[in-house]
Amino acid sequence: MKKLYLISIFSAAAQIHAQVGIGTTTPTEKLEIVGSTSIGTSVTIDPTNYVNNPSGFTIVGTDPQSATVNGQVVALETLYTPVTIQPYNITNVYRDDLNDLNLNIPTDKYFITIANFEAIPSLGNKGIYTSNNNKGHFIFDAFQSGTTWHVKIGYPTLNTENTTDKYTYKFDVILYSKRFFKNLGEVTYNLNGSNTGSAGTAPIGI
Amino acid sequence: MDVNGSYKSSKIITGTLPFITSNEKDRYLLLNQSTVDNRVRKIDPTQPASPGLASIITYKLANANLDWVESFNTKINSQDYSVMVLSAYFDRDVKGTTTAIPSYGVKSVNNEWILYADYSEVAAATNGTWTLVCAIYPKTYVKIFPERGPFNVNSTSSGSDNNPILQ
Repeated sequence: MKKLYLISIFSAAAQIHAQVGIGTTTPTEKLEIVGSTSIGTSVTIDPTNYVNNPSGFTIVGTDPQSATVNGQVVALETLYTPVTIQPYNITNVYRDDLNDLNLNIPTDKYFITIANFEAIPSLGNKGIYTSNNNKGHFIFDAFQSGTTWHVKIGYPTLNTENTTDKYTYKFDVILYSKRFFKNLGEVTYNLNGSNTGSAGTAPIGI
Repeated sequence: MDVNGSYKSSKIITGTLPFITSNEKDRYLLLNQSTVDNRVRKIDPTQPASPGLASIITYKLANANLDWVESFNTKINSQDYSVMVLSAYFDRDVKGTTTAIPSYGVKSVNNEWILYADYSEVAAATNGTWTLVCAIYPKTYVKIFPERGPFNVNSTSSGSDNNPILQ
């Protein structure tokens, strides 16, 4: 009887004030909890449109192995974002040939791409040399070797004019965490000597 | 408060969240919200039906017309996805009296993304292979603005966009 009496008082209070606080006597939300909340199966949120403010949001994640109960909500800070960009500055490259630079970035955790390339010739380096109509071809590639990522940059069939010529190569490596990005790998299409072709279907799983 | 079941709200967290630590960096989960049922789910690209934040794919276009790929239809819908060529290279020498800058990229034709690649004004002696590394972003995460410009730099070598979209 006493319990029922208390419930009816609580219900009446909730209807009058329209706000309930746990751990607070001055709730400003319908239900406000000062402390932690644990939800067993699923969370549903009424959609709210994003308001344009590029610096005004925090990306959140959850920790599946947090203390007490799993699923603590955490804010992502700079070092642990899903995408990481690492600029590189490679100096004193022999002629133009950076055949194999081991970045020692593990292939099981990340896949990488390279972007924002800049080639700076050393003093006296007049660039890629050719005395005939062969203009060579330029390779700019990130590849897997063993368990790490490597980079190859240069003109494999041409050279600078002098063996003393050097290059500085600057580029950005973009690291994508395999936990959040899907690697669809390499797909090869034979164009049969044509300048047009079609994949037939879009990649599956995008 | 413990809720042994599901929970619905318009707002979840109003306080300050703790920052992720190095212990959690290889195990934390990202969440997204379904526009169909509004439920919050984790992102797991290892599941076939879960795309992740984006996908990376490498197209090897072999046996091209010398060094020229005028159009290769990826069949990826350009209304739902953004496709970007992150890097590209051709696998054999090109020849000519002049030299050339390789050009490659994507364009949208009939709502599908088309790849192109070429060394203009020079040509390979045999049919070669273009390797194009592409990122595919669902437009849920990426917004593409219309082209800006042209910016006429009046025969000089520098210019400025004085009214960028994001400031």
